[in-house]
Amino acid sequence: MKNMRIFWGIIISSAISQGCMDRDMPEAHYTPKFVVEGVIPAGGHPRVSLTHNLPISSTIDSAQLEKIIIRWAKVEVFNDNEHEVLTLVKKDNGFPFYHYVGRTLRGREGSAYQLRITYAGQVIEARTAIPRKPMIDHIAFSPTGDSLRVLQVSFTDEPASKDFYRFYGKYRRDANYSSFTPGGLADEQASGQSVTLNLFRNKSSNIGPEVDMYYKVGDTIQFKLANMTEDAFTFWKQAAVIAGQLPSLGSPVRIEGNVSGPALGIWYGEAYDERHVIVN
Amino acid sequence: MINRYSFYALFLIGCCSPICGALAMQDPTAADTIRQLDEVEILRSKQDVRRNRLGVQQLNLSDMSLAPRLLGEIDPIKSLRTLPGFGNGGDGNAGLYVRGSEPGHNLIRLNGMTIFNPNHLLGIFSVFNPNTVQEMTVNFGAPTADYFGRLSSYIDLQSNWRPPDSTHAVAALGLIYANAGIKTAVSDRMWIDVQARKTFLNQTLWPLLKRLTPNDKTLSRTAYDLYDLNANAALSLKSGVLSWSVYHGGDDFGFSLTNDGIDQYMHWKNTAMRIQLDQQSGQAFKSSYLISYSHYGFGFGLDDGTSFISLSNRICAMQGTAKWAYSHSKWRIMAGVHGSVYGIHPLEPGVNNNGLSLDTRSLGRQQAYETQGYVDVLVEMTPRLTARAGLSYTYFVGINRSSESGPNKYGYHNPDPTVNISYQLTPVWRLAASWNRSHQTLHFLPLTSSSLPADFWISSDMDIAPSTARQAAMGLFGRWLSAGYEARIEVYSRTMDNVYEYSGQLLNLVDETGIADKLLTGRGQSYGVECFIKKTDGRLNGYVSYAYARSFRRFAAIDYNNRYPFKYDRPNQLNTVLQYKVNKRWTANMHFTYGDGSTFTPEVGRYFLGNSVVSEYGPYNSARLPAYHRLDLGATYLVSKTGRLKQEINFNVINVYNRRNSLFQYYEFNGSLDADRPHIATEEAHFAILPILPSVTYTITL
Repeated sequence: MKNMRIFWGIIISSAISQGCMDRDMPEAHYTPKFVVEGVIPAGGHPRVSLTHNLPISSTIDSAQLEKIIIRWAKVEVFNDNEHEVLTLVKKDNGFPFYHYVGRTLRGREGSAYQLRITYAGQVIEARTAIPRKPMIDHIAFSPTGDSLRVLQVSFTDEPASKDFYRFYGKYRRDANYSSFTPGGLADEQASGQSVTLNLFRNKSSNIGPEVDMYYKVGDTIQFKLANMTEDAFTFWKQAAVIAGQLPSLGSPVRIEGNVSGPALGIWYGEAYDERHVIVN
Repeated sequence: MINRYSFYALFLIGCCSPICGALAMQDPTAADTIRQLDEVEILRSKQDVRRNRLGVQQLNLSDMSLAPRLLGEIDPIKSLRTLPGFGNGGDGNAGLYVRGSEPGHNLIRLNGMTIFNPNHLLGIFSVFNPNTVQEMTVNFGAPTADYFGRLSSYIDLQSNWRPPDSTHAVAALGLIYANAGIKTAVSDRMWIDVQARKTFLNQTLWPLLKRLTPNDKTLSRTAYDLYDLNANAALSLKSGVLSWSVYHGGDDFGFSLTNDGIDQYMHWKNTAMRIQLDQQSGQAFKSSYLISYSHYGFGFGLDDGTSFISLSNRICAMQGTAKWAYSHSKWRIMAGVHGSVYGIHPLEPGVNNNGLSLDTRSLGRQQAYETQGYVDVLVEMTPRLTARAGLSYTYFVGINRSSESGPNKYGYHNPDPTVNISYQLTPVWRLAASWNRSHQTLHFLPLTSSSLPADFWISSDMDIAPSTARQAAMGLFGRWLSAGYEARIEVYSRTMDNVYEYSGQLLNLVDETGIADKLLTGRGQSYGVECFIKKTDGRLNGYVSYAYARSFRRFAAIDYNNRYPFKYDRPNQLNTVLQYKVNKRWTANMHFTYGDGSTFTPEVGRYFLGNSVVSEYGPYNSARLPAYHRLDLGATYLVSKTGRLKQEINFNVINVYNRRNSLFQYYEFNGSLDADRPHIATEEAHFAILPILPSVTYTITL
């Protein structure tokens, strides 16, 4: 009987003691930073969104979302020949609700552009260039079920230039583009050949509802084949990984951008070919 | 093997003599009667002085049976996790984290055959059939010089090589699996032992679930079964004992993550075989010659009919060893040579999209050759003082045949000294200290922070230097034979150089920058104190183990070369394993485990890119998950024991109070960034996999 009492005594004391032993390490510190997302397309005006990050404990409601948009910065885009201070305008398609846009300066293939943001005594700078414009050869749909289709895109890589392709698509009614799986193709993978890829649709935001990876017959979609700088290609690829992964599946990714100063983000040039197609 | 036979023979004589003597006194006809015993079951080896060596733990089958059993199955590897210094990676993580090292820093051998992946069912079961394993020895201190090639520990599982007294059969039927085996003599000089296990989920569980949920297309494509086969045989020769072993086992997993017709499969298999000759000349000279072959292969595929993604890795090893040992009353010398040839395909991702094969820049094929020679001397300097010293010298050549500039070939010389000194303070207490250096030329790289079958081996070559470790340890051992207690306390400090991490992402293997570029090199340090007390006699027996252990890493590419805690740095670890014999029919078991939570890299901030929320992370591994604790209970009822026929029912409840032990923590985001009503709700979530899990198993032993 004595042994039996010891046996149950250890069981009960073990179960009770566990309640006292949970503990945690101190929280790591948060560092405030600006977040830059700027693009200058070939033939288009530059666009720059400017926000700041939030500590993990912040509640993200509509008031908070309004507050993190930086509206009073001086945003300049320039090179040796051109210079423009961008203007803050309200956006009609999603967050952030305001962004800075150019009105006169247009991007040109092969040209380099510098971004300078000045705000509250802080200066954020970045440089980029606009690559050559890619060309879509063909868009088709292959059936997978009665009314569902897989998007197929064909294009030809230019052997002489270093190109980094990313794919974007949206229904005509949607405000924002979403990426695909695969999300892009690096120059080494395309390697100067004609490429045909099956693309599976991703959702446009990691906080939104799940979407069907296939398209429905009869829908009209906009498809965009973009060629961008290598650092932008890497940046968006890392962003897709970090937005989509479970923490168990690997070490956390820190997205490497190209902006200097107390900021993170990307300033990049792109050239794209866009088509409107009806799913058939 | 000869040692083991001799030991059992001595033990049998010791145990049986008093019983026979007692019978003779009570029965006046006993002098004329010869009684044939059906079987003598050795439950515990009380006189085994090897149990109390610094940095060595031995578990026999009765030790492994002390804890309740997951799904009714004794698991040798899981029992290791109850010992001090053997870190637990959490439910669903099969890795053994010995003294702050990584799972790949352990060499696991079954009857001398290397087993590269010891896990079934994503780590829930080990590949070792308890009907095959009689004893397990773990060296995690300064081992004798014949051990080489791993930084942290050497886990040797041995079958029962004693020739059978009679035919011995066992069969067990659980809820989802069955096992059966037989050990019998085929002649006066030869015996065989064949054991097999197989689950039958594809015939039971999956059809039942599909019937209950007919609209779930995901489940309709799920299939999973595992199996393994062990065969041992031994032949007594005039010149010694010739023995063979074969192991083959694997898992086949088919599943669908979506309802969209995308099927995935995953399979992994171990195959190993060996032949060994043990010889003994007189009492002083022993020799052993072994040739073995081991292979591990993993494959994953994802197919939607037009596109295909695959991932595979393979490793095989052909090894030969010759060992000689000469013993004298005051000293013993061991020497030997070893040779290995390895073929490795470290990680081969493949992507074919609509006929276009994307260049995934796999590491290609590696080959490696390793030769080793060693000498190890043990001297009893005084009746109280014993010293041992050894040197292992290894030459390793790694060749990467897929290097763009031609075969990349490079050789490494690795001298590994080991010393150990032991002093008997009193008849009860003994003090020991040790120091050793070790190296490792085969590196096991996890793809994820959990231990999965997709984790891969890679060889040292021109670009990947061998890992090295140095460890100093000291221990105090106590044994109270009459009371049936033993205790040990050990302190250790270990430093490691050239430890590797794979920084790639499992979801991003199709990466134009190549896998070789994703290997990070760093240093490690661990230290701790381990306490163990065991009760070996009486109706209540078992043990309590506690370890305070720390483990750190420093990588130039992680956190700006700052020192950070290893993911499985779990300072406080406590295990209590008890068994109580209630009466002749009932035996109760319990296992309580507590461990501080694993570390993780916390999210400290968030920002927005496009319409997505992106997490910003703080210092590497600077936060800790909630503590892990779990209580398991078990009971065994002896239904009947008639002659050699024994029937038992085993009841087990794993995770009695249904604790949700977190494997990892994450945040869930829900909401919208539409301008008319933007909002985002965030919720901290924890992922746990092992709920309360009862099981019943019926076993017949013949």
